[in-house]
Order: sequence, then structure tokens, then C-alpha cells
Amino acid sequence: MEMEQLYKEHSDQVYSYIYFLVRHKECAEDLTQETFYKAYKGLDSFQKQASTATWLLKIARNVTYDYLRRKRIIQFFSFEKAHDLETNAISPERRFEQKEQLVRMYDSLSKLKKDYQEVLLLRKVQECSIQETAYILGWTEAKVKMKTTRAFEALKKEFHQEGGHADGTIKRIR
Amino acid sequence: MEPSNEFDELFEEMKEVKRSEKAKHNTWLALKSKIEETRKRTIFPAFISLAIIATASFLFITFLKPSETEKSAESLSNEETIKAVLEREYNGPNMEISQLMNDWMDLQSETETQKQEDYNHLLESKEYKDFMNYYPATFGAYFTENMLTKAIRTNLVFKYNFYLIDNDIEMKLENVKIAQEKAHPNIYRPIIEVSLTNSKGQKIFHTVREEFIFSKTEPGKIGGYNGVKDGGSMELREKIENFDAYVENNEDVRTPSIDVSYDTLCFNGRLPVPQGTVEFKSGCTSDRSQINSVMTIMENFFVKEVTEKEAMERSELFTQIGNYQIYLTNSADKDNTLYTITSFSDGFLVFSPGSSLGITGDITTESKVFFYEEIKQRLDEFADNNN
Repeated sequence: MEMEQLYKEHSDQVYSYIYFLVRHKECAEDLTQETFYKAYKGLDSFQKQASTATWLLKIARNVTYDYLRRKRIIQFFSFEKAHDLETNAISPERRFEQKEQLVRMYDSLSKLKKDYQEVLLLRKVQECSIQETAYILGWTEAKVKMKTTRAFEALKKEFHQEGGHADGTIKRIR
Repeated sequence: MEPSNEFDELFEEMKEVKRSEKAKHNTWLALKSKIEETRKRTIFPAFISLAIIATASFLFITFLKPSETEKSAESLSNEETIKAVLEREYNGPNMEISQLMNDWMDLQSETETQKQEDYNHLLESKEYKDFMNYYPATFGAYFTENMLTKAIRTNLVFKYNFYLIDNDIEMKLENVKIAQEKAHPNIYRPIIEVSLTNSKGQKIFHTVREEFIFSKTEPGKIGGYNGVKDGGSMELREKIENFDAYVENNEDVRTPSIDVSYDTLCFNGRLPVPQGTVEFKSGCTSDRSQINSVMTIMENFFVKEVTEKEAMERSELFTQIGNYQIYLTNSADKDNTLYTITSFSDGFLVFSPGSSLGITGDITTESKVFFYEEIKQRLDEFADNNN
């Protein structure tokens, strides 16, 4: 069955992307299911103008945004659960240090503008190319490049500022 | 240029998202079941036997003749042609076609046919000819020959008739709004509002979307007549068959009262576009005349309290259908939503104090899709394009 194959090959990536946006496992599973259901319904009209993975990520983004919009919140990169940061293969001292860095990273990301968060998530965490990111976000490639540069500048600024532990920042969509 | 690899290590760590195999498998099972359910629903009920349809479509061509409606249809515009078809399709039930079909069925029941020759003889009967002539007499003027053949074979015309009769429901075409596609001017997509009335005089409304494609080789004739995905036709049939479940109790109907003081109106618009993508719009205005032009339309609605179940069903549709969420607020404190009104592209409107998106608010008792279009136009006047 084509859908089963599609699910096997891409569901982890879709889940991971959604998970970053919602930070809730059950909810990410539900939205992953919704993404693939929408993909099933739109499979005939998929023109292969992008790779299957990119197409699925675009659907996942729409599905997740609809969900977040329904709740009227955008809550990226909130850092709520310690088990999100299991790094067992390293020494306790290094783990602590790295964990602290990662906490700071999440906190810094959460304070960035929404489009900066999105472009960094796709480019650096999901490893999408500039073209793929442009397709998913509906931007031009030039805009992706420009936003990525600015996002890094903003991230640096936030990251190296004093203090700042994550507080699960909630921003209203306006 | 992509600056800085300073964060590469941390980004690398962020890639590690754990997902349990069990959860993954369960999601697949749920998805599979949903897909299978969808497949079942899309199987069109075959209430006329395939044999009759096949023979009908063959013989229909033989008996195809110009009719009175055809003569008068020559001068119609495309919009008028569409309206003529919709009037025939959405005003019913049509007891004539029902009687003709019953006569033909009765004849087959009463007459023993053991050989093909016997059956061929039946096809020469008045009952059969009268039944089959009724289609071109009713729709022949508006469709190309191929399209009419297809419409009969696939039950695209008189598609609700037997359900209306079986459930003793009367259907009336209330309103039609026809949109022509800019890029393909021979394609039209009407929004059709119908009412359903039962024998007790109780009435409900429903909106359907369809697509008409005019032939390029036969100008003025419809070469394609299609339902639209999620266009509401399955739901219309559902409402005919389960009418009582959709009848509103009008005792608690009231007009909306928005008792908050505000000076600014903001909105988020969500417009699904083809291929699974969604266009978002938003904007704010403190211009009193713009605010009034939107709010005046609201006065056309009557609302009643919804149950939690109804509210949940509606919220489930958020992802499926277009909608505009209108927030009443104050310019000095735009973050503080005082009242939310959600207008859906299927004609529903939801009111709610505060910012809960109307999910626990009020809902219209009648479908008012035309007011949605009006609200949309007014909001678009001050929409930002903030992509």
C-alpha cells in the first residue's frame, strides 16, 4: 500500500518537525496522523514540484499552524521537560554544561521572531535546503537566505545576553 | 551566505527527537482506519441497477431529441444556463420522473423476460421511452450530449430526488451566487443555498458548491458538471435522510448582543487554496466606518446557544474550511481580545465573549453563506499582506 510506505519512510521526520512546534508527544502524534490523512486526500494532486518529504513538511506546517491558531498561541521551543535532554553518553559534568547550553539555546530561540524561529528550525534542525525551506514557508529563496542571516544574528545576540532561562513564552498571533 | 557554525553542535542535539515505536504504530493504525472510513464514504449508493443505467445511457442517445426547453435555451447566458440547471436539480422532489421510473420498474416486474429478445421488446415500450425521454426533455438544452449521457449514467442529475421522496422532504433553491474563474473563464463555481422543509413545516438550510465547465466546441452548453471536494453534497444527502437531527429548536433563538466597548477590529483570515496549502490574511482597523460596515452585516444573523458537542464538531472543521476570526479589541491594548466572532465559509457564524474563538459561544440557526462573502469583502479592504 502506497500510504503505508509513505508513512514508514517519512513519519519520523514529520513527527519530529511537529514535535518541535508543539512540544507535546500525544499532540504531535495526532497532528502527524492529520498530516498524513491530508496527504492521502491530496496525493492525486501532488504535482511533484517538491520532494515528497518537503511536500509532507509543508502540509505538516499548515496542519500544525491550524492547530496552534485554533488555540491562538504560538509556542515554539518551550523547554519544559528535562527528559527532552537526555545525553547519556557523556560525563555528568559535560552533560550539565551541555544541558545548560541547550537550555540557553531553547530560551534564546523562543525569544526570536516567529519567522526567525521557523527558518532556523527548517534549515538547521530539519536540514532542509534553501529551496525546500522556500517551498515550505512560501517564501522566495532570497528571502530565506536573508531571514536565515538575520535569524543567526538575532540568535547570537540573544544567546550571549546575560540571564534568560526559558519560561515557555507565549506569543499571541496578531 | 550562511553565517556562523557556532550553534551547529546544539542544533545537532536538537535533532534527536525520541518517538516510541508503539506510538508510531498506533498512529499508523488510526490513520489507516480513517483512510478506510473515507473510502467507504465515497462509494456512491447504487440505487438504480447497473444494468438499467447501462442500457439507459445507450438508449438515451437513440431517443435524444430537441425539446421545448432547448429552443428557449439558445439565448441564455452561461450564468442563466447554470441557474436553469440548478432550478431543476434543487427544487424537488420531482414526482414526474419518479412516476415514470416507477411505471418502468412495474412493467419489468410484471413482464417475464427469459430471453434477450423479450427484454429488447420491453425497451420498445412506452414506459421505457417516456422514462428515458424525460432526461433530455429536462436537461438536454443545457448539456452537451456527452455530458448528459455521463450525468445520467453517474446520477449527477436528480441525484437527491429519491432521498427527498423517501423521507418526505421538500427542497427549494433559495440562493445562487456564481463565481467565474478568472484564469479559465469557461469554469464557473456556484455557491448554492437550499432549504429543506418537512411535512410539519420545519425548515433547515444547507449550502453546496458545484462546478460547471462550459464546452469550447459547443458554446453555451455545459461540457462538465462536477461536485466539488468537500462541497457539501454528501452533507446535504445526510440532512435529507436525517432531517430531524438537524432541526433547530427555535425557542432559544435570539439576536447576538455584543456588550463590550471597543474601538478596534482585527481579524485573521484562513483561506484554503488548492493542493493543500492555506493562505492567511490579517488586518486591523480603527476606522469607525469600516468597523460599522462589518458589524452591520452581523445584524442579519440570529443565534442560539450551542451544545458542547456541536461546538466541538465545528471546531473540528476549522482545518477543513475557510474562516475569518474577527477580534474586537482596543487599539491601546490589542493583545486583550474582548469579543471574538468567527465567520465560516459554509455560512456559519460563531460568537463568543473573550478570546476563545467562539468555540463555546453561539452559532447561527441558519446557513448564511452570502453574508460570509460580504464580511470577507469588507475585511479584505484593510487586510495586510504580511507573508
